[in-house]
Formats: sequence, structure tokens, C-alpha cells
Amino acid sequence: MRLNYVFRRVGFFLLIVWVAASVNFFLPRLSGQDPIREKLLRESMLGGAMQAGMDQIVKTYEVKFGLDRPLYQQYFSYLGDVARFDFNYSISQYPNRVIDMILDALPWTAGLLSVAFLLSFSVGTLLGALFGWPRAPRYLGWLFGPLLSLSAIPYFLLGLVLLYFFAFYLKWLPSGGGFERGTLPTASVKFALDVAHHAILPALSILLAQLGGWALGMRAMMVTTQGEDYMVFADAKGLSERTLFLRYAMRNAILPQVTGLALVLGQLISGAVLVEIVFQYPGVGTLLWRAIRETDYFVVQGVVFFSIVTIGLATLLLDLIYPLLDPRISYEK
Amino acid sequence: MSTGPVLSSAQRGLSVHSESTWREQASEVGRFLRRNPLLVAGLVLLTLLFLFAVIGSYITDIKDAQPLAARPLLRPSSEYPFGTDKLGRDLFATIVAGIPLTLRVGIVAGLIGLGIGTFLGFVSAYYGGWVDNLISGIVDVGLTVPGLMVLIIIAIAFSGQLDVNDMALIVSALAWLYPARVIRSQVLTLKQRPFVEVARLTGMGGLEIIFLELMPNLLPYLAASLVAAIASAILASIGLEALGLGPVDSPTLGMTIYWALLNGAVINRWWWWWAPPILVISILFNGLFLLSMGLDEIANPRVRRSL
Amino acid sequence: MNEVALQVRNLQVHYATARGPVKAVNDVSFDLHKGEILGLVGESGSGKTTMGMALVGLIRSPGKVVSGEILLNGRDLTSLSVDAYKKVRLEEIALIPQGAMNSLNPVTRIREQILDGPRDHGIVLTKAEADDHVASLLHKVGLSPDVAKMHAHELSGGMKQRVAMAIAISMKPKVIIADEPTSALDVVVQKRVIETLQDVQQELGASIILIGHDMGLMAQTVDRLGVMYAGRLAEIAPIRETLIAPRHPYTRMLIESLPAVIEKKPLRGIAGLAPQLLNLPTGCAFHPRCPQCFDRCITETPDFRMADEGRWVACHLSDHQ
Repeated sequence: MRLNYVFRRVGFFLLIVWVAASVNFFLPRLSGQDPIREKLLRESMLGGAMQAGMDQIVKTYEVKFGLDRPLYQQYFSYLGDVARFDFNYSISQYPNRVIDMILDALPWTAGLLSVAFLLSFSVGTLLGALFGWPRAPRYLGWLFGPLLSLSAIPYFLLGLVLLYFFAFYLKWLPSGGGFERGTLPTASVKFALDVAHHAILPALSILLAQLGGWALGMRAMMVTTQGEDYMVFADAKGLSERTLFLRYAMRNAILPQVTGLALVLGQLISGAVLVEIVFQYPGVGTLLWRAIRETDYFVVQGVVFFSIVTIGLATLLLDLIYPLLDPRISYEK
Repeated sequence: MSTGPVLSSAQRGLSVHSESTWREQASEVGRFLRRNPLLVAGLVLLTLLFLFAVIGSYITDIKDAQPLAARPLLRPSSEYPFGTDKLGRDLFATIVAGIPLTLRVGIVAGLIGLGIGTFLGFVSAYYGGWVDNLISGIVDVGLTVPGLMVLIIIAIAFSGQLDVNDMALIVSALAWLYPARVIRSQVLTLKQRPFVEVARLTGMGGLEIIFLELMPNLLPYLAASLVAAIASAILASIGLEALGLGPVDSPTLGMTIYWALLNGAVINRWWWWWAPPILVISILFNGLFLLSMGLDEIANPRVRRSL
Repeated sequence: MNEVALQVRNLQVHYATARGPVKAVNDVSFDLHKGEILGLVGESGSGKTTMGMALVGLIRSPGKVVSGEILLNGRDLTSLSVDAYKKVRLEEIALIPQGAMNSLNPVTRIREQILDGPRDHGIVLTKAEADDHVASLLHKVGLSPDVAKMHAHELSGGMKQRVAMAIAISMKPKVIIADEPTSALDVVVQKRVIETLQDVQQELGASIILIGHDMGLMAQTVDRLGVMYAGRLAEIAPIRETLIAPRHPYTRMLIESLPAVIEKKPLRGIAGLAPQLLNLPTGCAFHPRCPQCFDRCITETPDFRMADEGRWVACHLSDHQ
């Protein structure tokens, strides 16, 4: 793989990181005022046990982002903070640091999302490939419509329905949270099973909602691929159905599917975040929900920054993996 | 011997050509409508929703969609077909009022997004060079960044002060990105085709080429992009509203879900609160989805054959 | 040269369209003799490619082999099931496709593509045997063994065509259908590819049907020539006799349209266009363009009949009745 290609991709990633930070800095100031300062001032006037700490925060904030400082200086201060992973303290959950809160929540989200996504991508792609293959069993075709229908609605709404149905109506599965309320996380098999038990519904919501999308894309790719000359020649070689399907059709059709994946990464995270809220799953989503509730700006900024950077990283990884799948690419660009 | 008649017939020749291009497209669309069950199914679903909202607005009073309109937490009955919520809103009125509001956000944001996106996509593809690089770069970054996150940051700055129109504007900030990319790639493909060269050789100016030659061929893509833009705009607005960042005083579908979530409607088994908005949203998205699949088949007939 | 490798009897291949069936191959019969190269020449739409596809069983909806027989090794191929036909392909009858530019799988290596055919036919080879087999096949078509590790996009047009040839001969079939193997190549490469084809044929003792539209190429390569027009065979005869004294006016005009090198004469084409298969002329399909057309040609379609020893023609001029 050409080094040039790698550099450009990494450069793009760094650009994304910079955009994430800048978005966090400039957009809240869109209204002309600095809502963060307003909030901080209001909080510090409430008094209480947190008073001493809040005063400190307000003072530090004024130093860095006070009205007396020109905007560009404030901007560079902010960029500097971000570079040191200093996302400040949570306003409503003081003295917790934002970065700690995010790191606590991250494994939950990462686990949920990666499992759900990997399953839905692989199952969805395979199903889609079968949908697009004329000599596949006919009864599979019946799945296509319902899957697409499910994928049309937002993940978290599907989650709501599943939650009601399976947790409250049928009472088969837990109604929320990452693990049994009141228990302490331990490194035991029992705990692991409990976690898995609680993860079923959220993961299922994400899985079912995404399945149709992957299937649709793959099916379209398979249809296009089958019109290609190399499929005709492969058939002329008398290759088995299995070889034609796997090594010739799927192997080629999956390339645009992977490209398409890069486009929906943003949607995936946004959807997963909302799903967590429905199930009060202790990941980044629930953190965000609470932060929005309490107008805890620093937490919101932290979560937004992290999600954008994560997507950027995932995109970078995809871009680096793609040439390994498609031998034509590494020799261009 | 004046050159008048000669010139005007040449102009007429040109306009006959362009007219037939538009008319050809129109009759082709008519034929496809008949041969295209997905498109029709989508239109039917959307029309049903539309009729529901229209008829509903005659049956019920929109003011009942506000708090304290009725006794709270009533189950569905003949008087209140969808029951009432914790704050005393008549949920039937809420849904009836919410559908046009949500649609408005989607359509306005979709149209703005498509307009800006098409314009930038055209410019980018047609003129190339650094303009193309700049616009494509912005589009690439914009599409990589998760839109909802950016919208959250924007919305949180204004929290509590938004109305429906503000929502539409905010959402449209991101809605132009995907259309720009789609239109750009289509125009790039078309640019290579011989008929553009021919048009240029016959002396048609840039703008004429754009409107008379390129646009008719882009119509299916424009329509498909519009539907996709509307769907993603509605999706984004519902996401924002469900987080509580939407127009708090308006009974949009997303806000209703927010209130339901906030008050624990699921835990408390008040299913009539959250089920109707979800059902309506499902019908809406399925309708839009079928519509866009139908339009996709027009743009790319090969996808049709396998189903 | 008298033994028969393949026999085609009254083959009909139709494509269903909204406006009625298109008879792409309309009652075609001929024999392929053992060890010969039979050329099949014609304009676009003459049915020659459809003919080639029908022989390997690759006619797909909306096309269909409506009637007729393809006899290979005593079996009628048209009656075979999909799986049975798969077995016959590559092992007994192989295709060298038109436009090998896109006929190779873009993502797998050449080695894999040469070996997967025999593998799916039940041939089991150790790694060493496989390497040898691939290397020897590549050598036979004049390619270096390094090609095995490459991907399709790294090869030139001529190389890709020769890889396709290597694949086609990998199981030593008795019949090879070469569908316009040189159409997209420049003249120098064309020559090399045809020479490779001839070498391969000599070594395998295979019988080849060479489909194309280039009369000049046919003249230099084939033993016998079949001329197709509008889905039917116009004429079939040994190449020398065809060139010297063609029986069908269409054949004669094809030959005359070849630019002369020795004596200068004006370039001649064949006036008119090939007929639309949905809207064929009455009687003989060629009659609107035929300079020797007479009344019978307009009303009666000529039968494909033996005119001489080893010569068949479908033309009223050849009927001495």
C-alpha cells in the first residue's frame, strides 16, 4: 500500500478531529452569547456544598474564555485543552471529570455497538446476497419485505416497542440498565451472563433495524455484479453454484458494500446513542441524555467530541482495510 | 431578405427540442407510475397519513393538543380515541397536529437541502478544479461527522427557544451534503456523454446546457434525492426532539415521544401515549422508503428485475 | 477429418420480447469435424454469438433454446439439466469469451482462476501438481509463469485473452468455442493470439468454432467457413472454395469488401443495413440488399441445402430446379 495513500487518510482523520473540536467551540456561540458562561454563572449563584469547586471552575473559565479575551485566543486555549484530553468537569455531577465519565461509559457502548453491528452486517450482507441470487431458495424472499420495513423506522423507536413487548408485556427480558440494579460489577461469569442478558434487547433493536439496510445494499450489488462479463465466463467454466456465489459474485459485490459502510457510520452511532437512552443502558447515550437534561455543557461537548473522533477513526480504519480487499486500489492513487 | 425568420426558426428548433425533452420525461414518468408498484405503495401510505391529518383536523380541536385540555392519563375511549397524557393533552389531537408539523420540518429542510446540494453539486462537477476540491472536501468531512451530534451542539445552544421553523433550518444545515455528492457524481458522468459536447458545439451557453440538456436527465436522481433528504431530515428532527432539544411547545411527533420517555410511559404501561406516534412514524418512513425505492428503480432499472 | 465432433440440428434460440419472440438462431444445422477450425462469420445481430452461447448452454432468460439438438459425444446437450451441463462445460466443451477484458475475476489471482474450474469438476491436485499444471498451461499460451500470481488488472488485453485461452484448455476439451477472441485487440496482438490458438489446437487435437466478423482473419485461419445472416446459415464450405467461388451473394459481397493489397480497387461495402430480427423481410432475409434478387427471393425463404460435396447454401440461385 502506497505511503502516500496512508498519509492522506491519516490527514483526513486529523482534519475530522480538528472539526470536532471546532464544532464544539464555535457552534454553541452561534446565538451570539456564550451559553456556557451563562450556565456557569447561574450554577455558581445557587450555592451549596459544591460552591467552592464551582467558583474555581468559573474562575478558570473566565481566565480562558472570558469576554475580555479575543476570540481566536479563546479558540487556541480550547484546542490546547482538547489536545490534553482536558474536557473540564461535569457541571451537574461535580467533581467528576468529564473524561472519566466518558471512559466509564465507553466500554458499554463499544461492546453493545460492536456486537450488534458485526452481527447485523454479516447476517444482513449474507441475506442480501441470497436475496439477489436467482437460484437461492424461494422462501427467503418473504423475509425481505418485513426486514426492510423494520429498517425504515429509527432504531430507538423499534427499541421502545421491543422493550414494552418483551420486558413489560411478556416479562421475558430485563427492562433496562446494563446489569441487575443494586449489584456490583464483578469479574465473574455470573456477572458476564447478567450483562449479556441485559444487552439482548438493546442489541436486538440495533440489529433488526440495521439488517434490512445491509440486505438491500448487498442485494443491489449482487444484481449488478451478475451482469458482469466475468460472471458469464465463470459460468462457462462450469463452476459450482457455491463457487459462483461466494468467490465470484459475493467477493466482488461486497466491495461497494464496505464503501457504503463508511457512509453510514455516523448514523450507526447516532442510532445506538438513542437506543441506549430507551433502555437506560449505562453507555455514552444515557450519559448524553442526562447531560442534556441538566444542560451540562461540558459533558455534552465531551460526548460529541468523542463520537466524532470515534467515527473518524473507524473511517480511517475502513479506508486502510479496503485496499486489502480490492487488489485494484493499492496500485492507483 | 431578412434574417428574422431564419433566426426565429432556429430558435424554435431549439425550443422544440427542449420541449420534447421535457414532454418525453413527463410521459415516461406517467408510464412508470403505472408499472411501478413500489412507488404507488409509497404514495398510498403517505396519502393515507395526509388524509388522516386533514380529516382529523376537522374532527378535533387542535387546541386540545396542549396541556390541561383534558383529564390526564385517560385510556383510549370514544371521546378520546388515543387517550390523554400525563399533562392532560388529548393525544388524538396531538397526533393530528403533529403530523403536519413533522412533515413541514422534513419537507422544508429537504427542499432547502436539495436546493443547496444540487446547486453545489452542479457547480462542483461542472467547473471542477479547486472549486470541486473545496466543495467535495467539505462534503466528505460533513458526511463523515455524525450529523446528530452536530445538531445536538447547535440545538443545545438555543434550548428552550426553538420553534418548528427553527428546527427545519437547523436540520437543513446538514441536509444538503448527501444530495451534493449524488448530484455531483451524476453530473460528472453526464458531462462525458456526447450529447453535452454536441450541445456545446451548437453554441448553447453554460446555463442553457444545464437547464435544457442536463436537468431532464437528472430528474429521477433529483426526485430520489429529495425523498431521501426529506426522510433523513425527519429522522434527524425526531432524534433531536426525542432528546428534548426540539420545539418544546409544539406537539410534534418527536416531542410527544420525548414527553412519553421522560414520564416513564413505558414503565407505567401507558402504551397509548407512545404507540400511536411510533405507528405514525413507521407508516411515514415506510411510505417514504417505498417511494424512494420506486424512484430508485426508475433511475436504475436493473435493480428491478430480481424481486 | 471425416469424423464428427459436434452436430447441430435445427437449432432454434428465441428471445422473448414485449413485441414478440426474436429468432436469434433460426433453424441452424451444421457439423463440426474433428480437428478442424470452423469459422462462423456474420454482422452484428446475425446470431453468431447467440449460437456460441447456445453451444455452451449459457442462454439465459429471456432467451431460450426452443427446439433442435446439439449432439456431443452421443448426447443431446439441450436435454441436460443445469448441473449436468456444468459438468460438460470446460471438460468437453469450452468457451473463450468475447472481450476477455472483463471476463476475468478482478479480485482473485490468475492462478486461482485457472485452478477453480478443474477443482469444481472433481480434479484433486497437490500444491506442487497444481503449480505445475498452471505453469504448463501458461507456457502453452506463451505466457510467463509469473502471471499466475498476478491480478487481472495487471495484464494487457492480449495477455488476458491468452489467460482465457489457458483456462479454456485446462481440461483438454474436445470442442472449443472461441467467441471473437481478437475483436478488442490491435493487429499485432491479434496475430499472436490466433497463432496461439492454432498451436493449442494442434497439440490438443481439438475442434474449434471461431466466431467473428472479420473476413480477413477468417480467410487466414479457418478450414471451413460458415456465414450467418439474420439468424440463419447462408452458406458453409471449405475456406478455399468459399474464397474462390462463393455461392451466396452475401458471402461474395463480404469477400469483395476486403481491401485489396496487390491491385488497387475502390473500397466496396454492402449497401443497406442488417435487418431487424423483429421485422424480417419476406422470403429470403437478404433480398433487399441482394443485387441478384429475383421474384422467388421475395416470396419464398430458401432452404439450407447441399449444393456440392461438402458445400451447403441457402439461396435460390443455387437451386438448379
